[in-house]
Amino acid sequence: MKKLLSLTLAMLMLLSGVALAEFDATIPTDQTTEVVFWHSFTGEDETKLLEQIAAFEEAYPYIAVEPQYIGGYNEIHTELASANVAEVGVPALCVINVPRLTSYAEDNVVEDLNPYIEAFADEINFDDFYEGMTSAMNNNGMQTALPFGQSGQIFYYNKTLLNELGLTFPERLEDMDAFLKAVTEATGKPALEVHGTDNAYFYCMFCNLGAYMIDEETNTTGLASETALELIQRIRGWVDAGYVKWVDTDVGNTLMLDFTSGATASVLYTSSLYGSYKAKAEAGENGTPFEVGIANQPMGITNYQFVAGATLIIPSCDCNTQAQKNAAFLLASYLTAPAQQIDWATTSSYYVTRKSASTDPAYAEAYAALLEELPETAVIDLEVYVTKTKHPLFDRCGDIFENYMSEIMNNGMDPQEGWEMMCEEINDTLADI
Amino acid sequence: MAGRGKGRTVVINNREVHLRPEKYYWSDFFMALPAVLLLILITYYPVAELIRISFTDWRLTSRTYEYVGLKNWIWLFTSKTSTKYLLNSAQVTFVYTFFNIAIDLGIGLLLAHLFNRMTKPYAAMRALIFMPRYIAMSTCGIIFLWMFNTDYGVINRMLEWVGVTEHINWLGEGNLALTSILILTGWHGVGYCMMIYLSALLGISRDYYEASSLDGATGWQQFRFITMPLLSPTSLFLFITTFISSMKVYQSVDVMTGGGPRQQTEVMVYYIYRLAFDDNRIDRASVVALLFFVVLLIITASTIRITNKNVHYES
Repeated sequence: MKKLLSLTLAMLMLLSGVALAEFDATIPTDQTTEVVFWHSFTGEDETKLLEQIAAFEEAYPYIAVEPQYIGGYNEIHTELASANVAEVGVPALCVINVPRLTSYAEDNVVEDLNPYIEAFADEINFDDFYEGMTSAMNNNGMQTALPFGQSGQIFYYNKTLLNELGLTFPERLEDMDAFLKAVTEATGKPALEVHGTDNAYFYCMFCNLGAYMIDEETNTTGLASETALELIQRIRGWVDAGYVKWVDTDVGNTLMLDFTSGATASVLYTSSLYGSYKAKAEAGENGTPFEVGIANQPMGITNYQFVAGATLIIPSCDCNTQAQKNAAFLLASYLTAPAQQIDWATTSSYYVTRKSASTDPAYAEAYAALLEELPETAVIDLEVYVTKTKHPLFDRCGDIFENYMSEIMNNGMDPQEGWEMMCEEINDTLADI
Repeated sequence: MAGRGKGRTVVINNREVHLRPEKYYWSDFFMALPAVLLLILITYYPVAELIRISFTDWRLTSRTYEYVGLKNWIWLFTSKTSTKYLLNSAQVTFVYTFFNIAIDLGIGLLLAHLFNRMTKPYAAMRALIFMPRYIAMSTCGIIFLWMFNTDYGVINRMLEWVGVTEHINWLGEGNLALTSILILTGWHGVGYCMMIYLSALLGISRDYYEASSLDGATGWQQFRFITMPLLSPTSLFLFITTFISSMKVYQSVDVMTGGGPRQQTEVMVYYIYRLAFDDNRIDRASVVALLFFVVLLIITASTIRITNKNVHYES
């Protein structure tokens, strides 16, 4: 029996060795390899991306990239899923957001990037990525994507106003009450506006108090805890007192206008708008000019910050040749390299995904220029960023969470009743898998 | 090559008359065949595929699937979440459809009467009312999103002028959100109904009105006993087309509310979309889509059958 087991193990090891050895990482240099690249960027971001792609093509003249703007993440998902089933017109490289990766990994829509990372070790220098980012794109050992346009859920605050009031933005959740009260009493306006239609923005506060959306062991919601109820009641108290405005319609425009016009002292939104918020506030586009500060999510019993935003995937469809996939990985490596990431961040306000960008002297000048342009970038500690629960129904449960939060915050639903209904609905959804 | 169908006997003035069978040509059939094949390909084939998919466990992101029999149908009628969302979206869809038909047909008819003058200023006003029809619904949605903005929208600003100082959260409260969508789609669709009614009104002979005036009929009586019956074929046509388009509403909901707040504007098509593209459950989406298709078919057929009895085609 032992002999048989040893023999089987030896065979398996041999086979896996053969499989690794079989990974063909070549890209022909005597002919052009075409890479179709689907992305979601427009305006200045797209211009910068095209500029970087042109530089890549110059460095690798045997690779021709065809960038195609498809639309937002939802449009890309729809197009990619359809092309994947038809096995026609699937791009070699594609941008997609983090929450889609779990189902893509489960259904093998994407290539496992581990063999590529090994084969192109010199080009990618994988360990240089922030671990929280790469682990968000790792599904049971399968590396599904590379971090590209990463962002977080941060607070923008009116630094000029807070300096005048002698206040600093709270780093801990327990300090929020006093801060919100002080600002509102001083200004007569809400101290904070929260993006209420995407749970990503307020969920982090619940996690930092130990209340998670999904308890994977019991397949029920971890929000069914007293801690979660208390926080919901506390936020409702802030809303009732006029300290917080829960924005659940036309959110992007409302937050931008309210913040830049001085109608609120701070907003909770995506870090990728830092450049835009800063430019509008400093120019006094909608009111008196002021300086913009940014802050992480406040700490509770933990200091979790969550990764979001764009990733780069290589679809697994056989309609693209291995050479095309290799060329796509090379392009992904190039776009996520420290120099390109600093350049990209300066234009787009996305986080720099590389640790060496701020530590390696080779990039010191470029990084200093980034800080000159977006000084508060230094406030964000990317080492503390972690991944959220990877569950195929996470987004569905998140929708329920944000729906009930809106009802409780804006439509007068009783917090306890809303919380009970929310937990029941999330549990029913989880049971429906 | 030609053939002849069966003849038939009808009774005219208590006399049996034998009608000669109609002659048909095979060439006619072959002339129509490409169009029929195209129709089968783009209409009936997807329906057949939908039925097939409803018996599988196909996830949108997966290239493989297995046949699971009635599992999805059982899910639809027994799962706590599916029945809840299905009933909710059915209710929202029917409420929306009812009011949208009332707005489009009611205001359309009113406007047709109002602008039933063939002069240049009236033509200009008709064009203004019809114009929204030319604008893509997604564009209209974005414009209305701004108009309904709680703090910066022009509607709340106008209400401020008349003394309503508290800003209304148009898209954040269930009934108001659906009302906002109805205002958008009504604004978009009412011009079309007006034009169709107007052309029908022009087709009614003036003789009826003159004769009834001589008999002493009032304006209301003329409307009630001449205009309304003679407009009934047009009304039926508009009712059926508006009913079907209202039941299938999607774009305005997607742009304005995304089905929210708390599924209170989640119409049936939006629910199907959510199942297919958010949850990747194309199998479950197929089941809901099929059920929706059958319900739509039954209601439309019944409506035509019932209302046809009261429709006057004499005009």
